[in-house]
Amino acid sequence: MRYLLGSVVVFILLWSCQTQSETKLPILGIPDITENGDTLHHTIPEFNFIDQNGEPVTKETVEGKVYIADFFFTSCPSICPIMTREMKRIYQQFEEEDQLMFISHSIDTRHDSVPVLKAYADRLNIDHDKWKFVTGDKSEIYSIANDYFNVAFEDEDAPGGYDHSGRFILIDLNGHIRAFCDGTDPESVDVFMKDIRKLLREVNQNSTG
Amino acid sequence: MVRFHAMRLRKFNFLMVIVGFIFAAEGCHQPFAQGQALYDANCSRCHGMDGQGFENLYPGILESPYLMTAGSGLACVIVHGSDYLDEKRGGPGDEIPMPENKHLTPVEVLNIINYLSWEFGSRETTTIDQVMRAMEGCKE
Repeated sequence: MRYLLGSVVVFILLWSCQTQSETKLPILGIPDITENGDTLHHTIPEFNFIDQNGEPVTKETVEGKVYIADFFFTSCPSICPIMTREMKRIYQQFEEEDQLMFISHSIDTRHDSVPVLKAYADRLNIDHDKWKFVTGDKSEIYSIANDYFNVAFEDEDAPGGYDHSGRFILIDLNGHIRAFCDGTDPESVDVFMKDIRKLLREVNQNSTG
Repeated sequence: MVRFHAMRLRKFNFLMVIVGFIFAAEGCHQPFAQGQALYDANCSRCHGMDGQGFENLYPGILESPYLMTAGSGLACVIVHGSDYLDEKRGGPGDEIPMPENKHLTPVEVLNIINYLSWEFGSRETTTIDQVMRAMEGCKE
């Protein structure tokens, strides 16, 4: 009996060690090394966009939040419908999670005005405070796409007139990229959702202790 | 001799069961395989593999008023998308614009229409003549 009790205690101790030492998601991107030898991780720069309700969206909007970023346009006939389905699936999985936000950047700044983005968001039945559909200065959007490991460019030959990658990017509280996936592939998105959970656990652990 | 005969009969019965299964499986299979493949490749991203649509963003096939008027309107919607719908109602609607599919040949359009009708509609089949006539008259 004593042995049994002992082994249960050991098991519990081991188990608690296990959960505490869960491997963290890596910080992705090519870091800069300063003259002092400090490592500067790849960080999303400041941005200034406008959301579906005409409200500004900056780094302040996502302060204290983990967020997912992607690039799309509302009239995109090729990969976006699948991406939007997958993003909505993530949204539904984390509907109760207050610390998670979504920013979908439109790369069609000509057509996707604020009212167009508003109509799109309304039709998707989502919380506008949680999921931002943003537009803004075209060059700023195309340039920040690179910071988010995405490419976006105009291409007459592409379906809908724009070419872009369908990656979903996970960003932590410090503006670092912690995970990404192919937003057109449900299996890749399944793995991504586990990464989101992991990052949320890390954030909660840091805030409580 | 009798034993041999019985065995042959049993074998024959067994064979008939297999044949029966093959026919039954064939019956479940919808007859417009190319139409389905074309639907999956060109339409399903928005309208869904099951034709249910997605949220209020993309309408389901079943909701389409064009589904039952097989042939005429449906061919034009498939080929010209929202351009055709806008012309019909005399102005742009508030839906996410449906893209055109001008790369589809009349035979391909026909196969999609027959697949849609089989899967979601009245199962009435359309002919190539009807589709070609319809496609000529889309923009009038």
